[in-house]
Amino acid sequence: MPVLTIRNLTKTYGSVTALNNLSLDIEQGTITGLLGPNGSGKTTTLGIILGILAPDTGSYEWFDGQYGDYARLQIGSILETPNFYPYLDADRNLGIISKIRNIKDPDIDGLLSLVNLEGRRNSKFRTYSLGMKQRLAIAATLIGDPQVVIFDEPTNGLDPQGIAEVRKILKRVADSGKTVIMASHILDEVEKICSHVAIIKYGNLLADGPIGSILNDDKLLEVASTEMRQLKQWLESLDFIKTISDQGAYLECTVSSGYPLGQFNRQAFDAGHELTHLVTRKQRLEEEFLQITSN
Amino acid sequence: MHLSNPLTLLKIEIEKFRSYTVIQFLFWVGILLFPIVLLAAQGMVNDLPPPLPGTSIMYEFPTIWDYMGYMGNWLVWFFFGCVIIFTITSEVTFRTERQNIINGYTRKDYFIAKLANVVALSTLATVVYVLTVVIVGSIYTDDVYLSLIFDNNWAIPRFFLMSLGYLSFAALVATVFRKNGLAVFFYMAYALVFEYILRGLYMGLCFKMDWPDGMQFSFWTPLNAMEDNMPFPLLKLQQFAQQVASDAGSADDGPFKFRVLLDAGTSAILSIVYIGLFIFLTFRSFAKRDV
Repeated sequence: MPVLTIRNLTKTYGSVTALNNLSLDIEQGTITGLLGPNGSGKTTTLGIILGILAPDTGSYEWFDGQYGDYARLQIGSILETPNFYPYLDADRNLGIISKIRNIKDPDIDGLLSLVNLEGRRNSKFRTYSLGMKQRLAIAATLIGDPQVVIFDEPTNGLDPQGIAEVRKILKRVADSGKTVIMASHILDEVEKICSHVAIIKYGNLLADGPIGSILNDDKLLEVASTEMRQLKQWLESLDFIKTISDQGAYLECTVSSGYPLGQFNRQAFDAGHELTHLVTRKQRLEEEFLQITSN
Repeated sequence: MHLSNPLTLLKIEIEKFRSYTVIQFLFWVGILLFPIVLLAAQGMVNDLPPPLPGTSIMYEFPTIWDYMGYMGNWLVWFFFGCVIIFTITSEVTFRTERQNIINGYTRKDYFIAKLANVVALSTLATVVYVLTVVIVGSIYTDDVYLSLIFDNNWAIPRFFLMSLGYLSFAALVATVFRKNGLAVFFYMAYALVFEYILRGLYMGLCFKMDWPDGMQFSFWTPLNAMEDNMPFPLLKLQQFAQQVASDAGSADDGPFKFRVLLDAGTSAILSIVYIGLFIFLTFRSFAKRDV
């Protein structure tokens, strides 16, 4: 059952079309990565489905319309930056959100513990580091145990330690069985956490579905020898090699899915090439993403 | 569902702003200045020249209602008006306006919450006005009795109407301009400059009507209509003298050929119309806009 149905959303800012007739369904229990280059329309899409931007045309519906105007009480969300009252501490900020969400007895202790902020619960929000602000925002999204959680670039601007902390929390949220929608540039993160992806560019939906269906079955082969020029010429003559890209220390090749890679080393040796580097791997989301968005 | 209850929304608003220094400062200074301004005038204004009465009428029942009302007029406009502006524009600055909606408010909830602030602060201003008048008046009036205290009994609803008018105007300005500085600047500039230009434009139209009756319409501008609920008391006195002269058939009915103040009914009706218009425009401005 879709928790969110988006139909033909269009949004323009002056002469710029931010969203162009976008339609998308988000199924219950899925973890969907919303991918796209900067300015592709990810945040505009999230802004519309969260009620802060008005679409020019099109519509969306949460939970089959069963909660009416109050569907957002079932959704926890961070959009762009963590937004809190800077002169209030974590306790009071979360308290206000609990009241807005009509949560009578919120588990603020548990949430602050989840995001490692118990020690700073009485500090004013404006004294927090960016990482702490982001963690508090994640705690805020979870108030009242919402059915759906939306994160927009949750690790943006964080240092490596902050990214690692936030990623760990996101993984726990994703593992809890909630429906998660996450816009992110970090494809590695999306690939590790998400079950589904939707790829947007210039406001158009280019691809969507389970990650397995987005990634094609082609394999990637990293290969090097002492004679790289001859190796490259030989690779170009092979019909199961679809693309070759020079990565400096090695050549990266896309190999047709039917080719048994186990025979490659012997085949190369028989052709007179002594390989010094040989790695095979599946196509990664990043490569697929770049391929889809470059068209 | 639950949220559209104005009292619930008001409690959340108080929770949001009770620790915000700028708002706390404006709020408490505004309240404290009610008695301070009235009492300070005692030392600053010497006895008025004849035939005007002595300054004691500023502190005695029932005329204290007029004098405190006029001083409160300025205090509500400046301090409480700025409080309302900051309760709206600070949420834009902190981006908590959009976050409140993301968190679950409908736009109607958010609008009602801000309207609840306007009504609550107007009520509070009126309570402070009444308490100041009753306490100071009781101290300075020789022979106090209940019917004397409430002799000027329309002053209370008129003060409330005036406060509601100023604060709903402040809410509209804040909603339209959205930035703290810009909204405060326009709010001040409108009252001190633009309203007089608007009055001039009204006059341009009014002069085409029969003089001096047409002149009266130039006083129908919004803040003047609000202010005339609690006008400068000496103008009331002047108008009274003018009325007496006119009733007596005197050719010299004063320096003004027209009434300098709107009558109570006109200012009240105009205030109600403007308040309705300001609230409607505030809702319209907020309802569909991207936040």
